[in-house]
Amino acid sequence: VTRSELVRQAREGDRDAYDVLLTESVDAMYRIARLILRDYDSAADAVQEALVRCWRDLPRLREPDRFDAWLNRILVRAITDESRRRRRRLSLAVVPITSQPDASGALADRDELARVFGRLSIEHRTIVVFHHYLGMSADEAATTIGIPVGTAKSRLHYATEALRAALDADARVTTGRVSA
Amino acid sequence: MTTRPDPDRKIAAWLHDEAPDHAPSDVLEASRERVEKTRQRRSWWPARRGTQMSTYTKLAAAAATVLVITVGGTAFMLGGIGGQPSPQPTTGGAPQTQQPTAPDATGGDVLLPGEFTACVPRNAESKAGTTETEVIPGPDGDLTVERTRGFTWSGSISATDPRFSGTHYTSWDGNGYTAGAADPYAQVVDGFGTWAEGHRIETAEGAWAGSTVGITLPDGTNEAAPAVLTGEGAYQGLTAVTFPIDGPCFFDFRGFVIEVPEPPVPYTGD
Repeated sequence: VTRSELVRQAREGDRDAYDVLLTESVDAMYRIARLILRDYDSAADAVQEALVRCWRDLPRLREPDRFDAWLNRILVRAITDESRRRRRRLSLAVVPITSQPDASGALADRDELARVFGRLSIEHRTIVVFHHYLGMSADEAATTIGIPVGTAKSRLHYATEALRAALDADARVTTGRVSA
Repeated sequence: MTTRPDPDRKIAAWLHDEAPDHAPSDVLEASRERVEKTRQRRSWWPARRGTQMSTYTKLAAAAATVLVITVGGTAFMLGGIGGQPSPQPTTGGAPQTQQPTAPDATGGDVLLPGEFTACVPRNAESKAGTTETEVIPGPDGDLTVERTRGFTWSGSISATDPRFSGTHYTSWDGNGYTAGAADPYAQVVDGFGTWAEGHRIETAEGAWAGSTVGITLPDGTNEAAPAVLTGEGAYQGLTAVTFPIDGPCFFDFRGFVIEVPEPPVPYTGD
């Protein structure tokens, strides 16, 4: 049975067919959610919510071949919603103090990327993941996320420059330490 | 001197390192449990699938129930209708109603006098309509309008009241509106739609015909007016009010038969 056929069957209310789709999709969805949200529980909640919304609205999907792109869009919305919920929760809680970057070795780049990436907005992180991780062009990412191409390009430019700057800054620190 | 790797490659490599291989098993299990408890929403196109009852529909159903209780209850007190849906003493030839033999889409509720439920399977398309898309530029961005006209389906219908078991015909016309440029994905998620459905049920004794209109809101909620079906043939002088309900069929609805002709004409004299 092809994926499109499974989508057709699930669209008609076949829960077994949807279970196959769900099982095939959950890992990839979780990876995206985990990268963007950077939190296990929030990512788990976003994926669950997206899978439920997908099942609920599946009869409205006319073209089964567009299922994966459609699912990605639902996931992005669930991630955005989860991020807002989490922000509200954090505003009522004590925000944990993050550790200082480890600039003393091979982990320096990763620490600095994580630090800068974590400071980006959820929208900027989303475009970074769709472009740099999933390998989509700005145009493809714009269509999938559901934003104008110009907005996608602008967000991607800003976010990528911030990450590049983090790497450059880290390189200067490392070089300075080596030459000192 | 060593060449620094392309920063974009470093970013991609970092993301791949950060991404977990698998979702925790409880994500899959919890998702399955939630999906199991979730009903699918009615399709916007064709707008024929069982839906979660909107507030408007609930109010309409409540109003129809009150009306039927009033009319049916009065007849019951006079020994006319009894515990069964109307046997049509005044319409002649209408078959005696039997209590649920068709799918019970009421969730186990007791049917009121004159009340019935019906089940329409996914019937075959009997006439293909047309779909036209138009992008209307506006000061706040484009508006994409999709006009669907003239689709009809026909096939079987089974009901707890045999006066509604026979052949079911549905026509469907709708407009879908999407803000922004034509976006192949937005419509199924963001589409706002208005639609009109025509219904005709034919039996050996007569027929019922009528229509309803509704809207589909961007969050997927359907707000549908009850369909008002006018009796023909043996059902002349009867009116059925129906509204969609959740159920196992492609299109489930619940209805009430009222012994009044449709449409009632208000008195406009001095």
